[in-house]
Amino acid sequence: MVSTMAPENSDLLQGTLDMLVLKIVALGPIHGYAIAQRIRQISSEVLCIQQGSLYPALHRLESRGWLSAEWRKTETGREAKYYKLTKMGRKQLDVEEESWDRLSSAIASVMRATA
Amino acid sequence: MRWIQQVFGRRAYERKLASELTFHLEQQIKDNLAAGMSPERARVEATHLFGGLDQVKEECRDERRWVWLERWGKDVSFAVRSLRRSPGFTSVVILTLALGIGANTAVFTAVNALMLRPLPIREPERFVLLTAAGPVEPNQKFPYPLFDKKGNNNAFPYPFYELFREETQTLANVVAVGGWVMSRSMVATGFGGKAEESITAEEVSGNYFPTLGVSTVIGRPLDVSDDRLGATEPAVVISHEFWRRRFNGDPTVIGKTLRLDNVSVTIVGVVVSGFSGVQVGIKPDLWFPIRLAPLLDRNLPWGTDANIFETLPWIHILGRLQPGVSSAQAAAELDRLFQFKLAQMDPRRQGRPSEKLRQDLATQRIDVVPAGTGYAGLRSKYKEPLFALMIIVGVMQLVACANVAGLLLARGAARSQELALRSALGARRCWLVGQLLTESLLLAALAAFTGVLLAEGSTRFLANYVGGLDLWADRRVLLFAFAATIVTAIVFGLVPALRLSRRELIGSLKGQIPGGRQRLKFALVITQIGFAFVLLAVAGLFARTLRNLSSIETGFQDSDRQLFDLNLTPDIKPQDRPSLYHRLTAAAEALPGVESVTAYQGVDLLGDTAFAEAFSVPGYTPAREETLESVNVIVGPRFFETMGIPLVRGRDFGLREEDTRSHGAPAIVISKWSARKLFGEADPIGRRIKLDVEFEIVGVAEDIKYSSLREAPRFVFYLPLVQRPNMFRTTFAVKTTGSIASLGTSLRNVVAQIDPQAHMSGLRTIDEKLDQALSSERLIAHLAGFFGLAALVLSSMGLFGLMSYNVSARTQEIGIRMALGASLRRVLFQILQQGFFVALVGCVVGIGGACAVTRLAASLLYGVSSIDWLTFTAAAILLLMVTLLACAIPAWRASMVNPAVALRAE
Repeated sequence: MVSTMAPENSDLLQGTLDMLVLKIVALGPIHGYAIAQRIRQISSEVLCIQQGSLYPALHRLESRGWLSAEWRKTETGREAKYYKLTKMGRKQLDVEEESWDRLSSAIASVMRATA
Repeated sequence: MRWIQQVFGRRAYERKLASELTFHLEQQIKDNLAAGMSPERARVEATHLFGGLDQVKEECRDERRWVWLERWGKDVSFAVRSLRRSPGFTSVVILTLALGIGANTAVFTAVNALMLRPLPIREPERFVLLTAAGPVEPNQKFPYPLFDKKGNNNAFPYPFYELFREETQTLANVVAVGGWVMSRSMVATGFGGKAEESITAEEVSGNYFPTLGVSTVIGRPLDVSDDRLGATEPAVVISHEFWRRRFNGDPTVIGKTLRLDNVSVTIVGVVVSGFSGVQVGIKPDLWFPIRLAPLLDRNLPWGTDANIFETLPWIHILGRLQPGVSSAQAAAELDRLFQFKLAQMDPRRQGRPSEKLRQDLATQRIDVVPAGTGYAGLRSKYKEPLFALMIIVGVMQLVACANVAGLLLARGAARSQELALRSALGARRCWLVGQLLTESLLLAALAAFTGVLLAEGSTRFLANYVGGLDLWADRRVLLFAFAATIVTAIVFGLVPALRLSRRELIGSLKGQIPGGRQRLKFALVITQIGFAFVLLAVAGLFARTLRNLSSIETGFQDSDRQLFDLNLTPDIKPQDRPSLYHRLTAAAEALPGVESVTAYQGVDLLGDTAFAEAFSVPGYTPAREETLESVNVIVGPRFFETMGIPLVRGRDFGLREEDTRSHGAPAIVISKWSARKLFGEADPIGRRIKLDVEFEIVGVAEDIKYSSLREAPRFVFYLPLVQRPNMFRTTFAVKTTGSIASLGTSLRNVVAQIDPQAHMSGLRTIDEKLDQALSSERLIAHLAGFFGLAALVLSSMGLFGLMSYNVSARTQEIGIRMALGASLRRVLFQILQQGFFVALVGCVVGIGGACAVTRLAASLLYGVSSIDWLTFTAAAILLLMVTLLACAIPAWRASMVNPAVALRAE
């Protein structure tokens, strides 16, 4: 369950991390710890990010107005900061998804061609 | 707005950040425990997985800051672009605000120099001045008048300085400064100079410079060893400014000699630049040891008596509080010493003081007041006028703000689509406000830049008025300009920003014009008109004050009269002076165009000097509260004729010496008011008045204003010069026929012929003196008038804009009404009525404001009440007329509406 990460793995591209976070938050209000867990689960533990580095990303997205945050109680009764996608965040996610699709399909076709 | 919130909400942010991260770690530990780890291991693993906590925090902060900067940068660049798109609007706003910021900064520069700037000395915050305060009869005479007319004073006899210096435990150092800084004559003998020059010299105790921590650029400062009686070649130091101005910064001045009022002294040092003494507004050229004063003044009336140095209160005593000692503690200690010394000095030895005076003195209290920003000097003279100016420029700035706020609102209406678009794209309201405020800040900053340039010029203008002050922009002035800019931006920018960003107003992208904004616009125009009214009212009150003061009868003629001062060298004995004056007068009278010449002493007409002397009249018992004290003008022959003061009874002194006596006593002429006061309706001629000796009244002269135009009548006596030739500075008055161009040169030649050693200075006309006497009132009247007119223009522009907008917005309505048969006159009338109503409300608001403001300036007014309905009515009429004019064009435009066209526009 606990994995130790190689340093090069934690060097995730900033833009990609932002997009992942937006995508996850788009599924519904969620707090930081859950986001970290979700990233690991979804990516089948391939994408290992240092958990701490998630937070600068969250704060950046919040400051930009793509995420909004509110404090509320978890199921266990603890106060936690829940993030939610804003209207602007939704638009940003669309933009990023689109450009990611274009980029990945371009790369995929390049890779196929050489193979 | 969001970035503002972020700047100020830092502590809350830190708290939330910490609890968010802690939550994460705790959650991880819980999961680890659930996975079967030992508590210790669960914690270590969680921490490891998370990474450095502090580092993460720092990164979060960085992100926030970075986004903040990025957004602000975007706001600024957006604001720059949007302002550049409308250069007309931008330049009008900048000019309007720059005028206000510039004027405020200029006036503040003077206030700063006068009241706020700390002295360039060591530990100015603990530097204090000793004052004596007590309920004592005013104008008591020598030997202990330790009080001025308001019952307090800061001048002490010299022995008190020595007492305090030796005995105090609460003050670390005690220094003495001469209280009557005078211009003295100097001859630069060490530089081969022959001519006399007037310089300002201040007496200081030997420990003055070491105590203040003021050093020299070359040479050495004065020290205690310089300050003793009988120094053979007394040492002096000169100011940096004087060194540059007079000696071109020559480094060889050290060791050179000067002749100062006939005493040879040696320059030992040049004081560092920026230090100009501790009395505000008095800039000494030279400092000399205080013990030298009796030697320098030996030719003055008080200088002849060695005892006077010991008993005359002329020393200002300053000190530095010991660490941890409060002013109150120091005052208590010094007061004990003071009372002890007073008890010791037996007043009976001095002859005059009564038992009552002794008792009064016992009620005198020493007080200790902060002196870190200097003291006295010009402060009392300019405090109120500058305060009035500060109010005027402040009100002006409010008018400018209201005007610009109106412009921003109008511009906002045109931009509502742009704002609506941004809002639709998800911009929050606080971002829109932030962006609009950034634009305001940018405008204010540009205005501040222009304004500070303007301030540079207007400061020079103010410097002419407050002569003795160093007016330069230090850190405090820049800070003020900065704060004024920010406040200005918020005042004019916040209301429009909040209003424009309101979601329901932005609402539509369809370009419909929201209606609710009208009331705010009316409020802004009313504000402008109200403040404009205040300024016009102030201008009116000061204009009337100025007129009242100018129309006061001074009692003497002011046209075609020239004055100059003459300093004789002390070699000429007092008894020889009258004949020298006589020869000089005769020679000057022989000049072409000169009608008569006279000499007088002891008074600087309208010059704030008033040496009063006690007198008594046989058979006259003064009322309980009355003190018999007169100001005495010592006059040569033909004084009344030359000055144009009519004699209402009796005779002038006459030309011959025997004419200046009557029945064996010296003759005296008294003022009309004095005669009525002392003798009622009885004939005063032949009655006697006792000053130092008995005088016999030979004439009564018309009353004159002696030291200021506002003064109440007082006892004024004229004594013949031959009887009291004791001053060595004499003023000559020359009555001419019309103005004579080369009079100065001819007079100088005459003086040089009669006595080559004599020093002539200060050639001036009485007109100029009168002008100076009214300088404060004139400055305030002019500035209030100028800003009043500017405010009038701004507010009528505001009203014009509002009405024009209204007419254009209502074109259809007007068209319909005209189609339905409304007459042209009716439409016109309705528009004018609306404008008139706004102006009227503005005036009513303004009257309220004016009542509050003018009361503060009441003490500066003369012959007019601070709530003067005549002035207020005149200001209101002017405002209403101009604003109606401003409504005329929109009204005319409304009347030109063609119903057919207007209806088709639908």
